[in-house]
Amino acid sequence: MAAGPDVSAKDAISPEQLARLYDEHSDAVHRLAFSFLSQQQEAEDLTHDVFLRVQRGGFDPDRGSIRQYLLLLTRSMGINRMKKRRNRMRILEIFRPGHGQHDPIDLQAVDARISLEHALVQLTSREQKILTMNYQEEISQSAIAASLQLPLGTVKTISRRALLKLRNALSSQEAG
Amino acid sequence: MPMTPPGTNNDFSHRDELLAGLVLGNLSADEASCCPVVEQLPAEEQMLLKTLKVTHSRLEQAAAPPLSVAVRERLLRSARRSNSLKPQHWLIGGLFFILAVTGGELYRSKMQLASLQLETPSSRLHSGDYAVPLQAIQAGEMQNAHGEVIIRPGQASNLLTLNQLPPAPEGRLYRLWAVTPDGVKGCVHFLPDKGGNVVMTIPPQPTGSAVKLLISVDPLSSRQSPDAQPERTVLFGAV
Repeated sequence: MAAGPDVSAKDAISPEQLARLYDEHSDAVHRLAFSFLSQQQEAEDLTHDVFLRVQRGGFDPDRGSIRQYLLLLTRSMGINRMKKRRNRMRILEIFRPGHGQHDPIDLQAVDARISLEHALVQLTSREQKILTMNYQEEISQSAIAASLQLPLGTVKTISRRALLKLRNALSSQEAG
Repeated sequence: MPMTPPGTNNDFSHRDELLAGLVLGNLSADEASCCPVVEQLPAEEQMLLKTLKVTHSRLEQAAAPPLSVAVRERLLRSARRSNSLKPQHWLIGGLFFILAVTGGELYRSKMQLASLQLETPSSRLHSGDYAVPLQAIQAGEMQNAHGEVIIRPGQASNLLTLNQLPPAPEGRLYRLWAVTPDGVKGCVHFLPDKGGNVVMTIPPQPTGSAVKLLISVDPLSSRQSPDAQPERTVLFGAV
């Protein structure tokens, strides 16, 4: 995993730094946003808003990694967004009872998703790439091998070790 | 062979990797033949297998449609714009931002309200607006799903509302399609909320020039394919 762009504390960051941050972390932020907003357009809007907020500054590297900061920001901004959505539904409820009913926000599931994103950071970029192609894009392992010009056996070995590493990382987090 | 304890190091035994392959379903025929029967595994390996399955399942659940390239472009445009603002402009910008957010919220509430009003007599539609009802095309779990697309000529967006839509199967998304004189064109992807409802504004085209509208259930990967076609149509509406 690359060390990431040099983001110094609390100051606004340049568009170039923002672009590098986005390239490195946007998938993780978007996955988390989609997990609780469920709608692609809203998840993309939230991803955009999170990075725009980061651009204005406020990140303190002494308090954790930039990935951690981004995910917590996604969590809190996402919850705000859901509360606003719920308030709109309450207004609609006046006009049609039953329409605005929503389940409570499942914070436990959101936090579990954040743990997974933290664990994914511990994999190499090649392991992350293969897992992403496999799980996110539903590409078969033989197609991944062809796309990355690797032997199929290597892709299988990498994905198995990545799964084991991920499981270890999650176990460590839960134990800690 | 002892299993690798969690959280210690990442040098895995061949047996650990076989168990991971079993969970991933990527064992070769030779590997599968020498893989031990699950029920006969020692307790430690049973535990490893169980936690690997949990990790696998969490990865599957974390799947999301790919992030559109347009988001990056929009972000960088916004960032450059805000970067070029002088400090004394922040106050004015802040006021405009608050107005925009408030206005946006109001607009979205109005859109949702409009979708509800349109379920009552069509006299409440604005002049020129019209609704295209969407109905399930076959019996089964989708049979109660229904909704409509409100076409609003001359407006910045149309409106999609759906009710009683079952959750999409794992690894799949719903998608709206417009059948236009130029062919079938893909519109928005979406998932219903937990109550099976969808209320969202959609771009004015291609629904504005559609002769028929379809809702299909498509694989996540179809988002990346510009030539994708509806895989399983579940709702249909004619203009």
